[in-house]
Amino acid sequence: MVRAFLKFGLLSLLAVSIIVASCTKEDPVPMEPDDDDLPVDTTDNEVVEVNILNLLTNQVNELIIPTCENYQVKMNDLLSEVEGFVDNTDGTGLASVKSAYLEAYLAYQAVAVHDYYATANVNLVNTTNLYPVDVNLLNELIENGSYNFNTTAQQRANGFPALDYMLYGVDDVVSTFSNDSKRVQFLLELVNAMKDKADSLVDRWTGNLKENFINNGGVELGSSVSVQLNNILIYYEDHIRGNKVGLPIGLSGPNDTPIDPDPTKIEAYYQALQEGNNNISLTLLRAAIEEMEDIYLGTTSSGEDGISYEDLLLDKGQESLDTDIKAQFQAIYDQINSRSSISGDENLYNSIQALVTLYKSDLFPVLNVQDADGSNDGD
Amino acid sequence: MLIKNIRVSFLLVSCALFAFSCNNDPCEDITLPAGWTCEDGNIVCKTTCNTGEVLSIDCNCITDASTITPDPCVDVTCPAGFVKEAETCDCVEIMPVDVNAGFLASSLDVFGSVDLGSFAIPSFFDIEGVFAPGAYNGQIRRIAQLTEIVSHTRDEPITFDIPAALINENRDQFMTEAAMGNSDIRTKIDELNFDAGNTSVADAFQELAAKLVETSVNFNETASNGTAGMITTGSKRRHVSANGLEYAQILEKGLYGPLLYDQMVDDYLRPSQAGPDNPSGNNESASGDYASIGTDRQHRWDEAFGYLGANAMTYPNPDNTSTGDGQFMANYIFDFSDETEEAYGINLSQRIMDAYVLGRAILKAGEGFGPSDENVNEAALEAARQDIKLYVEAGLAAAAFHYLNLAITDVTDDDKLHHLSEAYGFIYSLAFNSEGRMTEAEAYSVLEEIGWPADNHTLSGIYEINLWEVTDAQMDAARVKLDGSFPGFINVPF
Repeated sequence: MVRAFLKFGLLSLLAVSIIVASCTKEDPVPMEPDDDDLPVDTTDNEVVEVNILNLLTNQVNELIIPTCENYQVKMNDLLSEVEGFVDNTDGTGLASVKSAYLEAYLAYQAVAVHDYYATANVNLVNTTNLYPVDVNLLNELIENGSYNFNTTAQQRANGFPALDYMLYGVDDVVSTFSNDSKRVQFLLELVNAMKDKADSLVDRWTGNLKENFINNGGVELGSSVSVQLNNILIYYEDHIRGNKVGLPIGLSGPNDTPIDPDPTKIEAYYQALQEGNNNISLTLLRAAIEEMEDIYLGTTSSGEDGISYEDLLLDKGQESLDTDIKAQFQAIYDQINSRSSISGDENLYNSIQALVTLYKSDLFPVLNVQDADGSNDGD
Repeated sequence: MLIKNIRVSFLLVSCALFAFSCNNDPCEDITLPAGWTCEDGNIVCKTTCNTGEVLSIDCNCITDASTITPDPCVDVTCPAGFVKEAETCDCVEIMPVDVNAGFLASSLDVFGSVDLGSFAIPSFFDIEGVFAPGAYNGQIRRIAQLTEIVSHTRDEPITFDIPAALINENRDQFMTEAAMGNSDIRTKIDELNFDAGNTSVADAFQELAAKLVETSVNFNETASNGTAGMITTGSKRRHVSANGLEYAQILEKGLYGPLLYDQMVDDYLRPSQAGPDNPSGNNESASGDYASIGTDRQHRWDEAFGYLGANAMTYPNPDNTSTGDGQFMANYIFDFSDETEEAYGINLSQRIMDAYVLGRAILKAGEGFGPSDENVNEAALEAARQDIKLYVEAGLAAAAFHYLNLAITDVTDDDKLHHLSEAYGFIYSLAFNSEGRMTEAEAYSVLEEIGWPADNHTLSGIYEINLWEVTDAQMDAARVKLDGSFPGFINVPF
């Protein structure tokens, strides 16, 4: 174990020297500040070195684990409210459930961006947030009383989209539940399954995986940096650019042939329908973008600025790229803030897409991270 | 001197009791076995024995135990394959006489034992246990597809659309469950390593498949030189062209080359896939789906294994004398492993399996979480890879010899056409290994001895051959040339 640590330590140093070797500055440690964007330690004001080890430590301790724990707490609350609603199926109970559901949905957005290692292994995204929901399948499962929330077959009658439908998709939700014990049963088991998954995530990320993640240094294929950057980008393209915005407006990918727009494909569709606008979908979108930004900036759970990709860029003298990335995030927020509907013009989509280009064409090459989306000579 | 009184006493008693006409010579009328005489009423043994022998109770000479020197090593028992040396009582290994591995020498034997620390190497390809996670579903599926295609090649007529099956058009061409799914055979042939993206080989097989289906309408004809129709071997009827080519054999055995063999040796086993040049390495983090398929290098190794067609748990199964629990290449390699073992001391099927298991163990034992904590014994893995390539090639060559041997000695034309067609298939397949003992040029050189046109080194060259007219001398010349790449195989009774 010690030998392994030494090896990792040595390799991290090697990684540092590789990164630093490409810098214009000679002296790697510590950085002399010449502007306000400084790598700053969160706790006791000593300067933290800009290196992969510290970056990964910050990522797992301040972003990944806290978002998982927050999701766990919110799912616990939701389960608690659902259990209360099961006992007292009335308007008050429903309101509490809806409130807890929103909190959990928002917490989910941050966790889901980290679709790699444990989060990917428990298949969080595909079991928790594939939409649109298949209403017929959902009703069938409720009626049959036999369901498995981990199967592919049930992906479109699972997670938050199923909850969205059950809480907002019928006229009199309270009566519908009062008159249908099977529906109540499904609701209870669904939320239990989601909560179990949230618990599992925390267990895994705080287990051996955490140390492995931190010590898996460098930027080559298979390093934690490569895994994180590649996988958050894939999630960003498929689930943020695609599912949240592109598919509803008829754009699957920037170079793909357009498909028919379908506004019913937005996230939290039934709630949006009931509320008469897409504010909920836009709110969820914003939460996802915020996590992407936090990963880039290294924002800690207490809101401080930890070591992250921003620092790596600045360390390499890439101020203008850093500025561009930050500006692009702001542009996305501006678009979100200025609309109440996902559909409409393509400006929202384009602003989201622009970040993909910045990452793939600029951030990755500067960091020597290879785009892992290579062709796989698969089965 | 031995005396036996019983019989005489009986007679005397008999005389007394039954008033036989007895006279006074007690030896009269007595018949005696060899070595015995009767003297004055006594039966005596007159035999004398040699030195070191004594008389047994029934007048035989047996070894005199008192003349035998007791075995000083009587307490020593030697294990199988060893014999006791009388003076020292040591167990000495029985050296096989005149068996030299020659060109079949094993790289793993040269390498020696592989130490994987605490990792226990399983006795079979334990992909679901010790080697997990791992999978080679696409390979299983394609082998099932080939199986289903082959099952139709003697239909009268063939209504199964073989060309469509090769591409699994609409992904709905197959009836057997194992063959169904999102894979097809043609795509892999299109990926030929040294064909550089040229699709001509796949096109040629599409054409061949179409010809087979087309010719199958002649099932009411008896084939003859110039007339397409049926031949019969044993109880099986087979479609042949007017030139006597059994399309089904060149289709199946010819496909071994670009599909099974090429994919294994030239694709999945190469350095950039199962080997050290794979950019995704042998770690969990860079794998596309570690939980299902393991590391990237492990997955390539498993896919190579998949194309062997062997039952992971039981191959080679000596109790299944028909196939050894292997399909296609694995089946044929098994069929000739006893012969190579006798002639070279190398059981091909066992050695291939051993190498696959060991290589996978090396990769499993050496996997990392990320690229920096991998620890693969590359030299040992390379030795395993060399053994696999050599022995699979040798197995295909053995099959080629086997069918040439049969075709030469066959009495009926029908048998000869069938066996010769198989031989073409195997020799054609041998061309598909860019690092093999036999090069593509050499394979075609062998084929030319049995009529392949020199100016057409593609599959379609076979249509210019009239198999009815290929002579024993030609087939023998082909064997001689083949032996150049596999020295000694010409003398092995494959």
